[in-house]
Amino acid sequence: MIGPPARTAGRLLLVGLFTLPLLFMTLAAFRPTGQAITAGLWPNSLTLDNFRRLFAALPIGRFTLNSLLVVAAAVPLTILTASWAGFAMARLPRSTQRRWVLLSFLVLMVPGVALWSSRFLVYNRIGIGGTLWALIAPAFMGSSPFFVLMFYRAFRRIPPAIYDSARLDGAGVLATWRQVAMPIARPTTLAVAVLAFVLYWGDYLSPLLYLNESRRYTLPVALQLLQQLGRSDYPLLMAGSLWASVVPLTLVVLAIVAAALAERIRARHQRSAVDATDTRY
Amino acid sequence: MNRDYDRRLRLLLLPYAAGIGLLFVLPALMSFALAFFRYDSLSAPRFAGLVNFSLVRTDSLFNLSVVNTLALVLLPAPLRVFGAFLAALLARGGRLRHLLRAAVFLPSAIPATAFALAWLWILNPLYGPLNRLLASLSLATPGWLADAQWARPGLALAVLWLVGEGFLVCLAALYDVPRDLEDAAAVDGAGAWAILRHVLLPFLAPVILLLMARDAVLLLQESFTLTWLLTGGGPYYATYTLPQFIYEAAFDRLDFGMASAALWALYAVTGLILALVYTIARQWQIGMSEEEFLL
Amino acid sequence: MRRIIWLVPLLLLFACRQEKPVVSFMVFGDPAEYAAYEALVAAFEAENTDIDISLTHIPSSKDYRTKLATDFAAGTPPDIALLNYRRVPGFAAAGQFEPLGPYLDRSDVIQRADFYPITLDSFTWQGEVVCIPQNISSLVVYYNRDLFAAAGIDEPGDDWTWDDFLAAAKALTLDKDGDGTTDQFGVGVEPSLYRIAPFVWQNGGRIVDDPTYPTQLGLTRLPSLQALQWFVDLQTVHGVAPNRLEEAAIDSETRFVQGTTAMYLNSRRGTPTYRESAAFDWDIAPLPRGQQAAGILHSDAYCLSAAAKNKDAAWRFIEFANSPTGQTIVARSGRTVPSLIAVAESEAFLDPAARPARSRVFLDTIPDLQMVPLISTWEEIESTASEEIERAFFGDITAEEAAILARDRTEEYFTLGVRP
Repeated sequence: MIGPPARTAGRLLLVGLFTLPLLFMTLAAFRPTGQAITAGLWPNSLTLDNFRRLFAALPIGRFTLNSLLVVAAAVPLTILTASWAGFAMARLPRSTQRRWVLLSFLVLMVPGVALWSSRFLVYNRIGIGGTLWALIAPAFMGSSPFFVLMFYRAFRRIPPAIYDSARLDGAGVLATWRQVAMPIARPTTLAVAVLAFVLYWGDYLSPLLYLNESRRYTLPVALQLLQQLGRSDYPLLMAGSLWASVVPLTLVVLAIVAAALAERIRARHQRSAVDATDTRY
Repeated sequence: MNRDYDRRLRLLLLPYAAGIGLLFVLPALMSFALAFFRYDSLSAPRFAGLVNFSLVRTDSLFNLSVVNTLALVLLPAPLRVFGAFLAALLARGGRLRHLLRAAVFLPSAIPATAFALAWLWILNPLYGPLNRLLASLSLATPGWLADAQWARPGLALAVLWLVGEGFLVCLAALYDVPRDLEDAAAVDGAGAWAILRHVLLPFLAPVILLLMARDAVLLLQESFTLTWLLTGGGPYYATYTLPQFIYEAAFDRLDFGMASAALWALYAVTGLILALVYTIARQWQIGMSEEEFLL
Repeated sequence: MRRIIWLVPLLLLFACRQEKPVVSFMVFGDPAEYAAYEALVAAFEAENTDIDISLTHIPSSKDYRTKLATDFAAGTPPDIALLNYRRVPGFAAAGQFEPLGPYLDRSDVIQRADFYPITLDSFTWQGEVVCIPQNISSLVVYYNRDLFAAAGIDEPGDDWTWDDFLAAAKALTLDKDGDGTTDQFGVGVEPSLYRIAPFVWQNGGRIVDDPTYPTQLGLTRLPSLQALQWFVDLQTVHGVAPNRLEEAAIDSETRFVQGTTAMYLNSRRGTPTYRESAAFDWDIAPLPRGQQAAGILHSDAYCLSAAAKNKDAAWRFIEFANSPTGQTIVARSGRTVPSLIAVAESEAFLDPAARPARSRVFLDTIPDLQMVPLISTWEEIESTASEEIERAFFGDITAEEAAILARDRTEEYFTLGVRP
C-alpha cells in the first residue's frame, strides 16, 4: 500500500533526479574563470564571465536570431497544418480515418536516420538545401505525425452534435475548424506549440546535414562549434548550453503554469465533468 | 453537399499527405533504390547490382555498429518506458503534480546538444559531478566515456533522462482509464499495487508496447547525437553505431549507395522491433483494435 | 487580428531570402585565428568594393573536411576553401578544384619564385599547382618559460636531443601536493600519425614504404618502430604525458594554456590562441633532434572550387590573400609562417615584440622539412593509423601491435588511393 505521503516523497525524489543535469549545468555555467574545474563542484562565487566569453567566442547573437527565425516560422505553420490534418482525419468517414491513423503510426516508426541521406538529395534537388527552408520544411506537413494525432485525438472528443449544428448554421469546413474546433482544442494547441517549439529549437541534425554557411547556423550547431573550440572548457560549454536552453525551459514552465491555472479554474467551474485528458501538462 | 464537404476536408489533409509523400515516402523509396547503385551525388548513379550489400556485409565496422546499436537502443528503451510510466503514474494527480510534470519534461525540452554537453561534464572521469559523488560514497569511479567498457553504460544512463514524449503519452493514456474502474477496485479493497496490476496495466498494455517500439526508434536518433558529440564512436569503436556508419558513408565518403544498403539493415532492425511488439501483443492477447491504438 | 498572426511566419520566411552576389570563403580554426581572416577579408573589401566575401568558419579541421565533402555533394561548395595539403588530394583526384597554376603564371602580383618551393610542391597534383599555399608551418615545441624557471632547468636549446627532451619532461612532471596524482605534466602531444612522423624520420625511419609511390605504412620497420616506441614510452613508461582518463578529463592543449603542462607540441596554428589566452611567459623550441634532422611540413592553401560561379572575383581574393599585403595581415595575427619568403623574413612574422620570441625557429627548420605522401585516401590512412597509435600511447596495446594493426588496417586505402 503506497500512501499519499510516500507518493509525495516519490514525486520530490523524481523532481530532484530529473533536474539534476540542469543543476550541474547551471553550477558550472556561473563558475568563475579563475576557479579550476579540479577544485570542487561548487563555484566559490557566481559570475557572468562565461557568458561574456561565449559571446566573444562565437556570433551567438546571430545564431540565436536564426533559431528564433526558424521557430517563428515553423511553430505557427506546424499548428496550422497539423490541426488541419487532425481535423480532416477526425471528420472523415470511419474507414478513411482508420487508414490515416495507421499511416501516421507507420510514419512515426520510420527512424529519422533512414531519411538523412535521401532527404539531403531531395532538398538539394528542389533547391532548398543550404537555406533555412530546409530546417522549416517539415512544418508544412505538421512536423510530426505525433502532433497530427494529438489534434486528431482532441477533435474526435468533440461531440458530433457540435459539428453538426455548426454545419446547419451554414459554416464551411474552414469556418468549422476555426470557429468551433480550434477554440475547444486550445489545450492541445498549447501542447503542440510547446512540443513543436522544443523540436525546432533543439534540432541539431537538420542544420548539421543541410546547412553549409555558418551565418545560417542555429544554436544547437553553435554548441557543437563551441565544443570543437575546447572540449575541456566546461564552464564555457555549460554557459553555452544554458543559453541555448533558457528559452525552451521558460516556455515549458510557463505552459505548465498556464495548464495548472486552467485546470484549477475549470475545476471550480464544473467540478463534475472534468475533462482532464486535454490538460496534459 | 456531403461530397463537397468531404472534398474540402481532404483538401485540409493535403499538406500532411504531400509532406508524408515528399519527406518520408520519396526519401525512403530513394534510399531503397539507391542501394543498388554506386552514387556520389557528383556524377550520375551507376547500377551496381548487389555490390553495396556485399560491401556492407563484409565491412567489420558495419557488423560492429549493428551490435552496438542493438545494445544502445534495446536496453534503455524498456527502462525508459518503465520510467516514463512510473513518472506519469505519480504525476497523474496529488500534490506537486505540476512541479513533477515540469521536472520530468525539462531534460527533453532542452536542445539535444545542450543535454549532451551537460553529460560530457557530468561524466567527466576525474572532475565530473557523478564521479565526485561516487568517490564521496567510496565507490569505484569508472572512466565512463573514456573507457571502452563504460562508454556504453554511460550513454545508456544519460538517455534515461530523456523520457518527455513517453511521459506525455503515458499521462494522456492514464487519463483515459475510466475512473469508475479504479474506484470499483478500490471499493473492493484492492491496494495501489493491485490496482496497478489488475486495472491500469491491462488497460495500458497496448500503449506501453507501442511506446516501447516508438522509443527504440527514437533512441536510434538520440543515441547518434550523443555519441557524435561525446565519443565520436569511440573509444576504439565502443560506441560506434549504425547511424554513425550511415552518416559517415553518406556525408564523409559520399558513398550514398553504401549508406542506402546499410539503411536496409536499419529498416530490418526496425521491422524486427515492430514484429517483436506484435508477437508479444499476440502472445498476451492484448487487444490491438483501432480504438485502443489511438493513444 | 487572427488572420494577421498567420501572416507573420510568411513574412519571416521572405525576410530570410535575400540574395546578393558574393564569393564564399571557408576557413577552420580557433576564434583567434578566425579574427585574422576577418581582418584579411575586411582589408580586401576595402580595396575591392565590387566584391563581397562571405566568410564561413568551422572550428575543427576534421569536421571541416566532412563539411566540405558534403558541400560538394550538395552542389554548393564554397568558392574558396582553406585546406591542408594532406586533404587536397582527395578533392583534387575528383577534379573538384580549379588548378591555380595558370592563374599564378598570369598574375603580376605574385610569382612562383616568391614562394618557398616545398609549399608549391605540396599542392602540386598531376604536374599542376592546384591551390595557392599561405604558409610553411611545422611542428615545434611550445614551452612554458615560467615552469622551466620554477623547476630550475635550462630552456631548450636549438640543438637539444631526444634525451634532453625526456629529461626536461621528467623534471617538469610534478605531483605538487603529494596525493599520488600528477598535477603538472612535462609534455602534451596528440598521439597521431602526423605527430610521430617527424620522430620516425629523425630516427631514419619511414612512415610509408616508398614516399614516391606508397603502397603501405612503414611503421613496422625497425627505425620507425624504435621512434614509435620512444614516443609511446613518454606516456606508458615515463608518465610525463597525461594518461587516457587525464586527457579525457582535461585535454593537453587546455592544460598547456592553463599552465599545468610545461611543453606542448603544435604547429604555428597555436600561436594566436596562446597569445590571447596564456597568462604566462612562453616561447618555442625546435623539435628535439634524433639521429638526423627532420621536420614535418604543415601547409594550408587557398583552393578554388571548380564549380565557382565567379572565378575571376574569387581569384582576385586569393591573389590578394597571398600578396605581401595579404600575407602580412595574417602573419601579424600570429596564425601563419608566411609562404612568401619576403614576408617570412619580415618583421611582420619575426616581430620581436610579439610571442614567441624564437619565431625564427620555424624558418631555420625549413631546409629539413619533409611532407607526407600525396594520395587521395591519406585522410583515411592517417585517421585509421592514429587510432592504433593512440591505443599504444595509452597502453592498451604495444607499439609493435599498433604498427602492425595500422599497416594492415590501412592496406586497402593504399589500394584505393589515387596518386598524382
